[in-house]
Amino acid sequence: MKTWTQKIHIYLGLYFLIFLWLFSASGLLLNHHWDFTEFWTKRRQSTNEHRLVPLTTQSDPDRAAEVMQQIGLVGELEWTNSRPTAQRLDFRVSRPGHVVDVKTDLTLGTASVQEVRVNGWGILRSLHTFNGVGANAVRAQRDWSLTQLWTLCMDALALGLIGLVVTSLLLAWQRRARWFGASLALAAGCLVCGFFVVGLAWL
Amino acid sequence: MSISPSASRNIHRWTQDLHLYAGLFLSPFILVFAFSTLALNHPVREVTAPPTAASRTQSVTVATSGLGTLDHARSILRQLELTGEIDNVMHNTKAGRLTIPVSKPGELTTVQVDLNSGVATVQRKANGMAAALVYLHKRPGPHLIKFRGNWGYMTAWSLLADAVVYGTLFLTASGLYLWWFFKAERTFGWLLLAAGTLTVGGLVTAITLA
Repeated sequence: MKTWTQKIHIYLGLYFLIFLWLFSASGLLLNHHWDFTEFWTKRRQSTNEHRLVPLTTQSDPDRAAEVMQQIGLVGELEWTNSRPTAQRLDFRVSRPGHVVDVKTDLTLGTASVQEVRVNGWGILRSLHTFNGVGANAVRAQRDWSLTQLWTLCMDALALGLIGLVVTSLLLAWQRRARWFGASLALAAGCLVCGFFVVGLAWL
Repeated sequence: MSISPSASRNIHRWTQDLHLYAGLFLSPFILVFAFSTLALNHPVREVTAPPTAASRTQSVTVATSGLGTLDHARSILRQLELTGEIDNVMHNTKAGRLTIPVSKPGELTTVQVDLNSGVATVQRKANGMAAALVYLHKRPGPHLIKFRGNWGYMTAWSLLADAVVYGTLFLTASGLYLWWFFKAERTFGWLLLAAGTLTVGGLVTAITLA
């Protein structure tokens, strides 16, 4: 029993090690504003106009996909605002480090494309939050296969962490000589964490 | 310089104990971040939830200077006996209204102050456990920097969030050290490490260079 618990603990820890480092580092970047990690003021921006071949599809997602194909864009499709008029189709295509705002005029057959590229620090930050269901998105669903895969990895990491915690509890249970210290550490963690999760609401 | 066998045993035992104790202390925090990740990735889109309690109104003394500042918002919250992290305070000059959102894990209270009559309306909305976890996961976060950490407990949480990250880094480093002593697990361990690295590396490359 102990051997298998230990094996699973080691295997989960080793497989998810790099994931954990990536999300730890990006978590720190999101919570701190260190000058050397500045990316937004160093962004590269460009705006281009494209002519569009008349669209053949009817629904907004299909039309957006058609426009993306014509312009040569790949990434997660985001609807940042409701459609202003029937002639307009505005959307955003994003992936970590690269955000493209597309504003199309279907009557004139044109698309204004504004691209923003950020450096490695910006990419690292956005990898932490890149799940295709942004808080500001009007119609949120994952439509890029890589967003789905990345989200799956994040879910797997979360489940892996839960697995690591469960196996660590089992391993601690089996080390009888360390019960006192282990119970103290766990109780302290539960108390402090519990205070923030449920206790603050009572203050 | 080589380390004596007894010193090496001591280092190993200490690392093992620290890994155990630090890991157990951090366990609940790691669970908070893990469950909130699942909640963030699979949000349940709700139609605007109704307020939990009926709104209450109360007269407050509103200072005319510093409208919309944190100190000003704090003085109003003191009169209303409300606590929590003040989010983005909005001062609508035209309507003569001040809006102060006050948040806690899993709870949002909105205070609307009519600056002409000096009457404050307080509306509280409880969002549940999942929202509490997500709230803590996102704090302090990259937004509203000048407002963040205005409630002592949230400053403490941001320190704890950092401590969890550094603690996790310690756990991974000590875990690697301890793994190295399991000679039977080295080959499969290397394979798993390589598989994890390839998965992350491959996906990040594909996402950023697609």
